[in-house]
This record gives sequence, structure tokens and C-alpha cells, in this order.
Amino acid sequence: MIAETDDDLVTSFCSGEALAADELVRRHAVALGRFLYAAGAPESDLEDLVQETFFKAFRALPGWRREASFKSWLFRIGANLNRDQFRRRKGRETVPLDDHDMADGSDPEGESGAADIERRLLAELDRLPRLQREVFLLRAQQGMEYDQISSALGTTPGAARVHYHHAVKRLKETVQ
Amino acid sequence: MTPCERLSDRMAKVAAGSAGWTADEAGHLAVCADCAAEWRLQSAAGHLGRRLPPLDPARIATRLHQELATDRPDVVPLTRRRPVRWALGLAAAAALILAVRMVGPSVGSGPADAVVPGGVLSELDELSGQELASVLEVIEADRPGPSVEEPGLGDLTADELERLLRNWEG
Repeated sequence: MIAETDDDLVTSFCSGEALAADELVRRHAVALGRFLYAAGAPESDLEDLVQETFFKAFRALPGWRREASFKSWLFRIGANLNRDQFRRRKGRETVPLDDHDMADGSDPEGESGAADIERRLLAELDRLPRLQREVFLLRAQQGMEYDQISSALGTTPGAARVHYHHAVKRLKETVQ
Repeated sequence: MTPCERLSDRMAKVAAGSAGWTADEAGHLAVCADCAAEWRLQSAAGHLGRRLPPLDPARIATRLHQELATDRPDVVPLTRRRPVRWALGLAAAAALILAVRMVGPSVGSGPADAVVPGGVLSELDELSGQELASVLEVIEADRPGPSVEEPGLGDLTADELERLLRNWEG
């Protein structure tokens, strides 16, 4: 039987219950992938990056001190990995919007407008300082509270709030 | 806290669907251009990446188990490190013996008078007391049998041995 909270699952995994890992991956892989994508990871590298993040997390799990939630910790590892890879590839690869960027055509104008906003937002996010970008995404995209964000990014809740408001100020124009 | 700040703080929860706007908040949102812009931004950010082909958690989990099964930890366990440390110690001992022989202690001089190149001793820094004692035993065993006038390393007290090593290291 699968335990309910992330903490329970971590405990189960550390006791040798391998299936607990599957459940943690199921819960967080998609959100982590979307965060990494919005933070600058190329679409083509996403699965490998998510995979590597989980691998690093699970390998370090026995020594993890649980000072933050599993999700905050996981996103911290992912953000660090993404940063390392970003330095290596020197920025985001510009990928043209493919067919999957458009929905099934039920609302072509709305879809195209949303795709345009997404493209402009991604471009503006790229121009933000790294911490502002990551704080903004953890808050606006992932719905994390400031204390979770501060744990994930190694800052304070007050600083996270300031970074968020600076980011919002700069990004507002993209959705006008 | 201003109404705009209150609204800003609630946006993440409302966007995630875990809360809704109160009538007051909805009213403020309708008339405040700044808050309306932030809300549009919040909604757009919430949709970032939703157009991507979805990741397959099952495949990621399978690959994860495979990688964990074949993982070699970065940190070498102590039991695997010790032979390396012993090999280093023995190499240092061999170098020490060679150095002592090449310089050639004069007959009747004690070990404290032996001239030993300082670089050799740096290898000994990492060794524990037990490992150091073992290295000294190797040196001792290699030396010609002590004459009556020539005390061996084994004759030294712990303090004398410590002083000797300090002299060697300068």
C-alpha cells in the first residue's frame, strides 16, 4: 500500500520500498518538467534533466535532513542542475513553436494568442536575473508559499517576496 | 497591508484552484489595473509548459530504478580506501628506507641523526598512529640489526618517537 504524504514515501523508500519512488516521481515529474522548461531548459533535454534530478535526489535521500519539503528540495536540485547546464549551453535554445503548441483548433485565435503570450513571457523570463525568474516561477507557476520558495532556492521568505514583486513589475507588460 | 498586497498574496492559491476570490477581492480586481495585470500574468505563468508533450513519469521511474541499481557511489567506502592508504604508507616507508640508505647513517649514529628528505615525510601525514607504527616497524625490520651501542626505534618511548618525527619534519 502506498503511503500518503511525501515524507511517508521518503521514509518507505529509505526502508527499501522501491515503489515509493514511483509514486514520488508520479507526483512531481510533470510539475518539475514545466518549471525547468519555463526556467530555460530546452524541451529536448527536459526528460533527461528531470530524470537526472530524481536520480540525484534519490541517491542523496538517505542523508537528507528534511529541513524543507521533499518538493522544495527536489526543485532546488533541479534548479541547480538546470543552472549548470545553462552555463554549459550558454542560454536557451530557441525552438520554433511546433504543432503541439497549438491545440486541436477549437479556438485557433485564443490558442494563438495564448501561445504568443507564452512566447513573450518566456523571452522576458530569460532576461530576468536568475533568482527573480526562479522565485517568480515557483510562486506563479507552482503556487508555492514564500517559505517553501526560500527553502527551495536557499534564500529568505522576505527576500523571495521582494524578488517576486520585482519580477512581476518587469513582466506585467508582456501580458498587457 | 494594502488591498493590492493582500490580493497579490492570494493569487497563487486562487490560480491553483485551492481558493477563490471573495466578493471584495473580485470587486477590487475589476477596478484595479495593476492587480488585473498581475492576475493575467499569474494566469499566463500558470500555463507555461502546459503545451509541452507530457513527460512520462512511469518511464522516468523505470530509468531511475535502473540508474540507482547500477550506481557507483562517489564516496569510496572506508574499507576500499584503507588499502590505498596502506599502499601509500608502504611506498613512503620504501622511500624512507632508500633515503636513509643513500645518505648512509654513520656507524654508531642513532636514528635521530639520519638525514631524511622532507618531501618523503609529507606522505606520512595522513597516516593514523597505528599505520605509522606499522610503517616504522617496516623501517626497523629493514635496518641492519642494532649493535649494543645503537638503539633501535623500538627502544624509544612514545615521547622520544614523537620528538624524532618532529625533528625529521623540521
